[in-house]
Amino acid sequence: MANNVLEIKDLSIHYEMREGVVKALNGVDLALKEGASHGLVGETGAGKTTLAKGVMGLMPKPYGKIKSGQVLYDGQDLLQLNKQEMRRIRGQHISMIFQDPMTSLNPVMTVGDQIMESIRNHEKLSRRDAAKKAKEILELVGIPYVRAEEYPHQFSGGMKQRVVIAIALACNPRVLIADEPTTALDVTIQAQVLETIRDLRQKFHTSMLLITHDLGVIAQNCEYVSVIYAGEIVETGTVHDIFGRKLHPYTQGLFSSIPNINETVTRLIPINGLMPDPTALPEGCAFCERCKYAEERCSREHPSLYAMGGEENIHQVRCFRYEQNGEGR
Amino acid sequence: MAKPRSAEQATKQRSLMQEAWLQFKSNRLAICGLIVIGLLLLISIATTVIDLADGGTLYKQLVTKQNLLEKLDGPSAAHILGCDEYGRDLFFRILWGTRYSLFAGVCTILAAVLIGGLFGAIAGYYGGKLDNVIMRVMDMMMTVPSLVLAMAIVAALGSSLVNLLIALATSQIPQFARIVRSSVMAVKGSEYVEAAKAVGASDALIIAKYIIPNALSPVIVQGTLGVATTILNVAGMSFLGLGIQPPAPEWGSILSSARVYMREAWHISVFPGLAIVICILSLNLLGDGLRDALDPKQKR
Amino acid sequence: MEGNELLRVNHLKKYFQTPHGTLSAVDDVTFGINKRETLGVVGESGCGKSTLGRCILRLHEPTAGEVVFEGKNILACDKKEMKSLRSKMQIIFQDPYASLNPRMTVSQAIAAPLIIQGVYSAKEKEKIQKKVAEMMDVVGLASRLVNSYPHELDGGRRQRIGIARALSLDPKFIVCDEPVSALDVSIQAQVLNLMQDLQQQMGLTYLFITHNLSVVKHLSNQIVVMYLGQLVEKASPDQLFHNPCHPYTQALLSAIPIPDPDIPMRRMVLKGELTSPINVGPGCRFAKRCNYAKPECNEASPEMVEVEPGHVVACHMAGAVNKTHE
Repeated sequence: MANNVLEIKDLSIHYEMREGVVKALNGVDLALKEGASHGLVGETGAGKTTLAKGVMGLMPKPYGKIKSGQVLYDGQDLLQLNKQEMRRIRGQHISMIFQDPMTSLNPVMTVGDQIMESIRNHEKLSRRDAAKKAKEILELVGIPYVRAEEYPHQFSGGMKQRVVIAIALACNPRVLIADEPTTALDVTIQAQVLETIRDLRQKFHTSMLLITHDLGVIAQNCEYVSVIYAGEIVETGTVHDIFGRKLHPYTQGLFSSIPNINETVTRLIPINGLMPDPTALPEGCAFCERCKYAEERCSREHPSLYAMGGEENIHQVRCFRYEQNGEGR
Repeated sequence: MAKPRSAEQATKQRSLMQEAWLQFKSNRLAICGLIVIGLLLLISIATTVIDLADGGTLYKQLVTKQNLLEKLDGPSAAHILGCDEYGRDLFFRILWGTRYSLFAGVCTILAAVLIGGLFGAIAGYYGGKLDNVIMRVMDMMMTVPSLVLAMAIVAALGSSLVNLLIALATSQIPQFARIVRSSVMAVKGSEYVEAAKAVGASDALIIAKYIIPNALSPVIVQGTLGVATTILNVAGMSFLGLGIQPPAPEWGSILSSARVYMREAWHISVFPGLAIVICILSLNLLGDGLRDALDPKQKR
Repeated sequence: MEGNELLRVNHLKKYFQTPHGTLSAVDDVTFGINKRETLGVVGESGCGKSTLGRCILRLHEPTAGEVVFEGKNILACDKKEMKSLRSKMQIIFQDPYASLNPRMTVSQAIAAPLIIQGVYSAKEKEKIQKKVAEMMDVVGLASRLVNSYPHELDGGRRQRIGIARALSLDPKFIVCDEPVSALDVSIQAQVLNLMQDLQQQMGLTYLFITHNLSVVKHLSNQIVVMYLGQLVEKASPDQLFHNPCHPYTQALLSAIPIPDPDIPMRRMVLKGELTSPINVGPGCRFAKRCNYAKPECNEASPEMVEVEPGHVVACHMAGAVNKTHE
């Protein structure tokens, strides 16, 4: 069994704002296996981007506070590193792709220069060698190397995102965090970009944390899945565990909310209500108010993750309905 | 047990202006600026009211009363900031001089905002040739440095307070035309403007109710900073002898006459200068605070 | 025009003049929508679907063609007639953050159309409040939000305000420009259900613009696929999904990631990138990217060919293109 290249343990991140404390993440655990692709599914406000930024050490400065937890990369806790050490990690060991390709690239630098900058930040190469490597990477993402002299505005959305991927993978990092990399793209371009990522991952054996709200993208690109709701993981397992069994009521709700192109649906079954206000999270289960199985206990006690076996014996659900079958953690 | 709040129940029904005020309040420097300017405004109003009420007797007593025995005296118990070259109390002169600066600043900017804003709104909303013509005229006005333009106008029209204000306002019009134009252009393309059009709203209604209220923020910020610039310009003009004429205790003209006495009577230069600095600084802090509070991108 | 048709678009064109040449945003589009039905307009960025929607409402002035609403060509109407027509034809926008005036409360936003159209005068506050309350109820907005501002509410609620605003004039026809694309999945479902219910209750006709085929499948009676300003295929949802004939439709369908890890995607790869809509030459606009293209595809624009009843395709190879995706 492959070991974990990245382990997030009991991570809690709060934003201390004027109006109150936003509890963005509350005790999140996530283990990214070496060479694997792990999907993180959730909606707006669930804490997905906070998690990504927490791992990368990119928390917004004055008000983002890490309350507890560890982020272990190869055994080393990233949260204990100083700025200099963290800078060495970023780009070379752990890279991130953001959602909006339109704003991820510097509009006044050529594409080639931006890739080179990433390379030269971490490797001691001459300008010429770095330029050569940049062109190689451009070809790898399917962009003719002659376009290295062009500026971002001369590229389409999909190609910009591919440039972003090239920058992220230029130094061959072991971990890639992709935060909704294709949400802003058309579906045919999305397919192209995801394929590019897949090919590069195979070539470089990169592990990936893929953050998205699109269940289809998860199904086609991930081996493991964690579902995040109101700052905590509510279900986690292999992709077959989640898609096949769908144990947590929120997971079930997500599936019935999406129109499946292969099925004949006359009406969608949405989840009623809204995600709770992160400045005033309920005492019990965060999903309690919207859950059709909710009992009195659910509003008082906070459920832990219960082990449910599954394909690789890693399937866990945070719901009292499974307390009997599984063992509490 | 506190009932969990979903985003539903968290609505506080605060308008954008109220949110901006909260943000502004948390900026200590900006509040300082606001307080100082408030104080200066109060002084301006008070001195004007006093003069109107008592027909200028206090003015003659405190501000223009000459006492050649005390000329160029430094700060003392009798005269807190000392006396000028005619023995006039400097403190009361500076106090009474406040209204010229503030009044000139505010009036000028109001006029510049209204006129510049009107042209800018028309240029921005209708675009095309009209836009071109208006903005090229504005560009031409901007090529002349504001002080030089003001001097030219005053030289042509004569140096009275009104002409001074006209001159200064003219030099400030182009920047507001530009700001309003770009705000209008940005808002014009918004979907909520399209929505209004889709319901059949007229152009006038759209400009008045949809575009202008949303284009105000940069104007407010720039206006505040513009008052500061104008006050400096007024002082500058008076310093050059082109603005407000003595014996009116305008800060710039006090400075002007203090030049020759700088060696022996430093206080006549320093204190009015300090007054100008404090006024400008406060306006800048206020303007910065407003910009931070009103800039939507600053909101998390 | 058939008796049951509410809207018909005939040879609609919208060209923009740019410094680089003529941009054909909408090029010779023809279709009809029956009363109380939904037409889905599907396509990716740059296909012209949003421009099409706006041209139908004359938010952009079309360059040529006809838009026939209830038997009358609205492009020939003057300003006054247009204003009164606007109460029957409305629009719901994509971006719930940009489509509401940040300085107007919920109540003001919903009441604005009523005042502008003169249904009520600004002084008849009680009647206006009553109507606003009614609309909020219809779209599922809690009444205590009546004085809230858009920035205090989430995307789903803002979109409901947009819907309430569109409905306040009791229109017959609504252009829905990607109304759920900017919303979370669970909120999308809520809003889509709401729109479905409203259609039934109020007898609305929708033009539903989206890039998300799966969303439009269960809502539409008919779907048209657009590419670079032109209609390439028109069919019922079943026909389109089970028998897509145009290569672009096939590629589009094959690119949708299926939420089932055991069904692999058999993606039909398109060559190259989206070509420019500026100064388009003769011939099929999809030819450069098409895997089935032949020389004649570049010479003349394809005509609409019927492949089965109610299913037309604009392709020179129609019928000959293999059905590789079931």
